[in-house]
Amino acid sequence: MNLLEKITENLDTVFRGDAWHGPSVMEILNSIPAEKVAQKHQLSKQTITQHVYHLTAWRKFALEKLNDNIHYSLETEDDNWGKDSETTPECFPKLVDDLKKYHGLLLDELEKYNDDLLTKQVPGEYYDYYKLLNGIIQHDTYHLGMIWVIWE
Amino acid sequence: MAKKATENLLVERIKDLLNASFHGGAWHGPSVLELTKGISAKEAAFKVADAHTIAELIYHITSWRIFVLKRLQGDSTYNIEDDKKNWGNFDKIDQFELETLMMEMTLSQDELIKELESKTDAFLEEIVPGSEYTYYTLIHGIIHHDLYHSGQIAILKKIAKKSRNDDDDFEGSRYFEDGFGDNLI
Repeated sequence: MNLLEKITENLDTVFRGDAWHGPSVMEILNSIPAEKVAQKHQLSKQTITQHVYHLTAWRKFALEKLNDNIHYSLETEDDNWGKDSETTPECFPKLVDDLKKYHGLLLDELEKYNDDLLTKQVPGEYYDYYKLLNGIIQHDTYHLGMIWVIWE
Repeated sequence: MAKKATENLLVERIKDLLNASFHGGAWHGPSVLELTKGISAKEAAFKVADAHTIAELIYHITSWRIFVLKRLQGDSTYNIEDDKKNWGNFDKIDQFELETLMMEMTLSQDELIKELESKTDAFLEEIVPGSEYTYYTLIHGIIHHDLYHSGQIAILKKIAKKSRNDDDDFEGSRYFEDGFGDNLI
């Protein structure tokens, strides 16, 4: 297994497997009661639906960058967290489907590459794909922790 | 004899990830220290529903870092066998105890980095004794574990700060001044 395959495997394990750190993304999302998905915990700013939108948004970012879209960026609050109309409780199933879809697309796309990708600069950014791809996995776990507390 | 950095590029890169996620400069957002520095004892002890307090989470992060350290040092028997060893035992916490918790967590970082520096890329492929995963998985796992609980701390800190309704000794991270810990990159 080359390094890119290891990273991809790690990405998928944290997303839906038996992750070392604890619950995977899908384990948590599949367990959240419907009434909790749009809840803001006391004074927290984002809902669980917005966090799910956010995880998808950065997978789209990675896909765009892999397609050499140098100008693609997530600039605004809406880019990052979705519009209110896109993150209602009713949107939750679609948001989870989108997340699964873009996760799958990212895995498919990464299959086309070898380890040379990892030291390549991400178009329009100062870092390489090693940092981006590991960053996406870490980003998942960070937001998963937030989702868990909002759910509590 | 010390190995050259160029000989074990993967170890070097993982070390960079571990340092960035702990100290700062990580891709995903705020590091463990950026989130925990400046927390007051009251905030560290603040209880939200059934969630662990920040003090317990810091203790827990360190406990599992020590677990990883032991495995890296070849100790295959060390385990976190009970709740006290996993989450600590804090009826109440003062500033001194909080500083001790922070110091122990920071020491664990120094020791993890030191241990990693003695390893080779080939070592990362080895299976951790007593488990079914490799050291590569173990080290990434501890980074993910740190950040999973840091995400929890990020929310608890925000709630504790607002609930206290005073700003006497809170030193807010820059990540909370314009959003919610999501100044990505």
